[in-house]
Amino acid sequence: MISFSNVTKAYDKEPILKNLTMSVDRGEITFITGPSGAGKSTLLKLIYCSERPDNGKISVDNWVVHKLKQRAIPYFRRNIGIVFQDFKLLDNKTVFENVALALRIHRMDKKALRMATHNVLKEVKMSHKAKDYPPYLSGGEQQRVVVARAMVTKPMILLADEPTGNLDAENTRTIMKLFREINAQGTTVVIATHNEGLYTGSGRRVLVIKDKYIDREMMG
Amino acid sequence: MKIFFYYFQSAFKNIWREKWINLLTILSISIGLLILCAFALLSLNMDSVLRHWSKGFGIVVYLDEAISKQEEKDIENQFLNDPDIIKVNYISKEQALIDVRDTLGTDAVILDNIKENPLPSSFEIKLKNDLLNASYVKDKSSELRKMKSISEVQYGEQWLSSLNTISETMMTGAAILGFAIFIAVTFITYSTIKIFFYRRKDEVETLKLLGATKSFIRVPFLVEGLFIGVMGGILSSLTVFSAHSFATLRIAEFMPSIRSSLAILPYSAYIAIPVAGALMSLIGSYIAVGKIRY
Ligand SMILES: Nc1ncnc2c1ncn2[C@@H]1O[C@H](COP(=O)(O)OP(=O)(O)OP(=O)(O)O)[C@@H](O)[C@H]1O
Ligand SMILES: [Mg+2]
Repeated sequence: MISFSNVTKAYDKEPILKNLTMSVDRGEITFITGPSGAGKSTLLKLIYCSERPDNGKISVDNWVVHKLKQRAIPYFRRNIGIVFQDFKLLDNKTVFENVALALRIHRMDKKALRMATHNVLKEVKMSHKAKDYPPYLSGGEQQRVVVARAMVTKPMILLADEPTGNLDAENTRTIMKLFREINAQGTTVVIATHNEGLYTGSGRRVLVIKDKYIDREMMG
Repeated sequence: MKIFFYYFQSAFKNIWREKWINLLTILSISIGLLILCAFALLSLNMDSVLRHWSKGFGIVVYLDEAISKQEEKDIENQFLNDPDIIKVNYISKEQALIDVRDTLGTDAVILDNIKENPLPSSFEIKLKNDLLNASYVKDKSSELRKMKSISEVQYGEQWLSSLNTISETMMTGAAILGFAIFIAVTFITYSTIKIFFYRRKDEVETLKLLGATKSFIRVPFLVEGLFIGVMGGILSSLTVFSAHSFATLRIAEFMPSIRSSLAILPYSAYIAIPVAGALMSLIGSYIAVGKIRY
């Protein structure tokens, strides 16, 4: 589903990832871990084509990502739901509108859009704040909205960058349960985190970034 | 179709959110277009005045002293058949003398000492209006001068060339002003939309990451630019219209004659102004959004 082969990525000549090779199979839940600054977010950005590799090959499904043309990028990205580490919610749109935006981009019609949005907000337990604006939400509430927006399009791949960074134990369990459910429906899930608690005991694959490449692979 | 509804909805939300800067931009655009209208009106009025003056412009062709009646007739026929000439007026020696007497009034006594009528007979001819430019009239009159039995050809050469200069200056002025206003209005929308674009830079980035196409990102800005331009245009149309209504109502009360001689903008102009505003602002906002790269 996702495959990196000898990928090198540098910002200002300073390589962050070097000769990184890895692959994620369809239907997997995979964790990517490593210390802060190891390049977890960078690796995810390479997947959704927000950063381009300096070297190496990246493919996602049938898309040759490292060669993707500008005009193909939006269509490619519609296959991917992203939980951004910095949320990227629009402050001047309500929670409902923020989530619905993803569906508008997918050109879903109004009725289906309303229903899907309300359903997903219920799943992340944010229905009661549908009309609120992100700046008036707590960090954990914002995070759940971001998860809702990433899930609502039922993407082929879900990339989650530190999706539980602001959540308490109970909300963390809720979100992880949602990820398992969406995975059971066929979405490949990749979670970047430095929170060991998230993967220990999960029985899922964990890729560890160290020294600019995937140093080892283990079972959580 | 549905997506267009969304474009308009979100564009109008943004327009309302930025209402003051939008209002300011609309006002600036309408002032720009008003200047253009005012100049257009001025040109139209000047043009009609010039046209009015041109009606009086004629060439006087003096005939030889020894000309026979038949020769006069031939020349007249030749003039009548010339497609450039729209009017031919024959002035006999006798008529010329009467005219001079009329002009002199009581001073006409000085003519009593002259036995023989010294004035030649002549034709006064008028050329087609669109041929009234200095070089053409000059050529035409020298052509006439070469004809048999014609002694002299006279016309207001200085007057004609200054008339031409005025209308040429006005045409150039109109072109320069029109271009300047075009640039100005385009630039005004450009800068306003550029400001909006920068203010919503994060939103644009997010849209890109969520898989929005270029048009999904661009269209709301274009709708906003379009709105600004059309509103600016409508505002100046309304202003010109009310100014015109006021002028015809009020001024005509005092000077009824002015109503007929006042040139007005054709009704199509009231549509053309907002359309022009729309076009200029659309170009401005398109440039402001620029190339979208993922
Ligand atoms: N746009 C950029 N320009 C320059 N340097 C960058 C840029 N983005 C990231 N970096 C650098 O690349 C390195 C890896 O960043 P990245 O965000 O991928 O780390 P991370 O593993 O996600 O860390 P964290 O766990 O703190 O989120 C960091 O040292 C960071 O300073
Ligand atoms: Mg990170």
